[in-house]
Amino acid sequence: MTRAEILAKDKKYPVISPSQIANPEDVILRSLMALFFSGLLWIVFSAAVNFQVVPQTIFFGAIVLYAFARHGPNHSFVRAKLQLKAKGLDIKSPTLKTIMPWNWLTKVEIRHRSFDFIPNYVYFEFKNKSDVLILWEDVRDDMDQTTLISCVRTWAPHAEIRGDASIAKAESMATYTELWLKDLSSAKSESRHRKGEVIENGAVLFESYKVEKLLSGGGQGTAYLASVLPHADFADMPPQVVIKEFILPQNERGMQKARESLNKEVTILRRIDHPRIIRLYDFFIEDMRGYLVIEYVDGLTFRQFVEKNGLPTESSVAEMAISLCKTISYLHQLSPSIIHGDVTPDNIIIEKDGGVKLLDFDAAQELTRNKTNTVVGKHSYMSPEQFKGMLSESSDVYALGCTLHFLLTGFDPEPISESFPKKINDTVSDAINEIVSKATRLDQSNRFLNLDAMRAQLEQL
Amino acid sequence: MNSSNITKRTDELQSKMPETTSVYRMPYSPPFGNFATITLKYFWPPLLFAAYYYLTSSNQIYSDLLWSVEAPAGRLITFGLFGSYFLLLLCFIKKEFVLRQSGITLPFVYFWNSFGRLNWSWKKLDSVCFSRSSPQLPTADQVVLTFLDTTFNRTVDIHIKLKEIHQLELKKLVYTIVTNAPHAVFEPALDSVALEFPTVSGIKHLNFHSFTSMWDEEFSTRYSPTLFVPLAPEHELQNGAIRISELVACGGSAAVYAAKDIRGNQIIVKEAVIPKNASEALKEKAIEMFKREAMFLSQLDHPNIAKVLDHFVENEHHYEVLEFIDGLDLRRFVKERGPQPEDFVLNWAEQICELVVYLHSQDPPIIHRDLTPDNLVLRVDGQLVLIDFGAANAFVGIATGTMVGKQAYMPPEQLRGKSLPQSDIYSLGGTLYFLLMGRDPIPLEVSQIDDRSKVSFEMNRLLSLCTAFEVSDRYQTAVGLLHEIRKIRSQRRDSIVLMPTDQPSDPPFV
Repeated sequence: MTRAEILAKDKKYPVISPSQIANPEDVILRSLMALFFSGLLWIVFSAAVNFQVVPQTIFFGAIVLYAFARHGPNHSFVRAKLQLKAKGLDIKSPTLKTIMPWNWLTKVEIRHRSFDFIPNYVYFEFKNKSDVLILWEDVRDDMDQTTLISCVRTWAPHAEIRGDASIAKAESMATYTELWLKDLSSAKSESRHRKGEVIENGAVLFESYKVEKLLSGGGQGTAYLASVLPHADFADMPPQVVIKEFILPQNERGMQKARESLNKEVTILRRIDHPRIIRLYDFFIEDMRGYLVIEYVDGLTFRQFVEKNGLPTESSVAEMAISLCKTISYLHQLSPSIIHGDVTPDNIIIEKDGGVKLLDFDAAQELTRNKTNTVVGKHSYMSPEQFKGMLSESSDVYALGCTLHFLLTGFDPEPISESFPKKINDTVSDAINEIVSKATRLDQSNRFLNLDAMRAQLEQL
Repeated sequence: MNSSNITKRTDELQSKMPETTSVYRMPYSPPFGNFATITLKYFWPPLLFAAYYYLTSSNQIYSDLLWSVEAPAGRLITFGLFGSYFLLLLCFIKKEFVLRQSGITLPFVYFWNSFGRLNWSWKKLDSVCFSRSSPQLPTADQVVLTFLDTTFNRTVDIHIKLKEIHQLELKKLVYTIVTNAPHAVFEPALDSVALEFPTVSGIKHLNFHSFTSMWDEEFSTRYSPTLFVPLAPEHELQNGAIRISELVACGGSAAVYAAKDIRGNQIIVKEAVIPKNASEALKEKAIEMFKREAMFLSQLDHPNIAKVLDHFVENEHHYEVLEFIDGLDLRRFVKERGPQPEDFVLNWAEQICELVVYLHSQDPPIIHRDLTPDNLVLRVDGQLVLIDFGAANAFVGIATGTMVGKQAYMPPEQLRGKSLPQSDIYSLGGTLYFLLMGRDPIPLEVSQIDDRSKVSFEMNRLLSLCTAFEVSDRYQTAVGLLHEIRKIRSQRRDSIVLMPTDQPSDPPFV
């Protein structure tokens, strides 16, 4: 017994049993029989009309026409109509014109093959021994197998569905979308020039950047430290830059999309010119990979800093927070304003001299994001309205509050809830605890009005 | 910035991209009516033979004319008569458009229109015009593809009547043109095209506007940039036991492939990659988790859960081999067919709920955490199958310190990191909302459909009780929910019998 049969036994839905439904011999035999009987009929009639030519011919023509209308090999002149309604099957065919209730249905046979010498059909059998055969040709504008099977499953779960062997195989319903996607996405391996995962040191990218070494840390993809060769397009580029790499899907559409979103992102980022925000210099696409050229900063992210050096003092946290407030409100004051949307300990870098720099290239974020509706983010730092997809300036206030919570306690705050760093770390003062909790209120209207208000509070410390 | 340079370079790359072998054969009914088709196909050869036999046997003059070596005209007639039939047969055999990445092959009936040339490269396609064959018609009834034949400096118009081609096929044709021949001009612009398809049961409308956006979405969701190089087709894993046939989806640090096993069976392979620069402890923990989860899942045995066949590590990448399910996931099903009627949704709800009951009844209870329309596949036999076990997802999440998930289907307590059995009930409610409305529910809110014309009161109550914000307000067990669903279903079944003359709710067709 196959697995399908075992399942069919104890399930309420009978599994589609692939089988040979109409065998060609049957059809041929039936048409031969029809031919024989019509010939017999013709001889009898011809004898009746004394073998006169004209009525004989007319009668013969009528027989042929009727035979084709009824059993024509590919098409029937009488079109059947089938509608599936909640009440039952609304059938209008030459043999049956009623609404058959669903609970009368006992058996459905679906024949569906691409070789259509014998026409494809669907055959219904009912409790009262009546049955009807409808050609797919007649109903194919209205439904496909999937709809039919879904209807039968929903309204007549006990009916047996017998399907062609091919139903369960190649030409299934997945074809519409699947085939062209396959067509467009598959490509041979030769088209990627570089097979290795990592670029060797000394390789030159885009004729402008020489890779020096692989950068570690971050965990968000591959990044290289590179030196800028003299013929790079940018005049004011520093001697060393970071190149972030991501691999593009290997099809035309994907490349086009990636280029579009990169172009869009770069036009936004060009407007940003702030010493406390890391700059994006260039982007390029080479060998089915996208590259972002960004400023190189020698420092640690907040998270790395806390792991390495322990918690910073409260006054230095306040100092950094004030600096961040200024930086982010610079973004908000641009017109049209930019909302960072991803202020987390991983996106803020402490430089060697103690300055705080904000990473801002949403491009990389956007491109390495799994799906449009998927958050590959840090849930802890996302405000409720951001979850709902309504990003606003106060989302950055929320995220900054959460970041302060991390700096004060060393732990990520609990997602979607007001944070109180004092609960975890007793040494936190009431004043800053108050600020963090006010910044992370769930209701936007209860938070700080904007970052300037938050800064004012922080400066009072 | 050197964007022109970039364009140039990527164009070069694209032109180097080799041909794929996969083609789509688009069925097409030849442009003559049913009666003519039958007559020509079945009566033409016997008539020919009869006429030929009659001519050659009864009359010596004709026989000489047709057979004698001295009469080349006669032979021409003979070959013309029979040759025409073979040409006709070719029309029946090659009655399909073959769509390739490089170009299109027209069916044989266009032999005359296209000056004998049936293979056309997409590069030669100049415009696509939706036009009316006669000015009396209210809407367009034909598509005209115009190719530019540069060698003879002429244009070739291919008229395709809308009634000769199924509307799904037309969508596919248009899609292939949009993706492969972006230079082709659509007239009128594709967004404004509204077509009417006459069918037996009335007129069906087709708008391209929603489809173009759907295609774009499909692409961006299926193929996004990755942090590693995905395996190429024909790549072999496990010393040739598994052969990759194509990339199904990719993004971030995971990819999904369609593959064939050693016996030629279709399987699905999932790949997950730990970033190279993750810390050692994290890597070890991730590997441990991955193994445990795969082991655990391979012991599950339910007909409606895709089986985990194998899991292994190769080249530092983790692979999970899954059973292949032939079908369409519910997201795409709904995107293609629109919101589903309540009866269908209830039927599916029962099936999903049975699955959840099964999972929760395991020891220890398994919480799925990722019950979304993307992870439920409607198999060809009409049953729902759970395909994704989030094993890879959870693993990737651990590896990178982030959580991957679709927030619209996640209850608040799961976002906070504490998943409960009731979290699956919330996701189930969200999925039902999606099936009924055709759009994702709003995250962190109770999903409700107050419109009584769309959804019955009981269904709405069920939805809001599934997706309540607080865990305590939801159905407490999947068994309870299952009872509720069954109750509603049986009520509806009874009411159908009681109402003989109601307005039947027709299922939406494609």
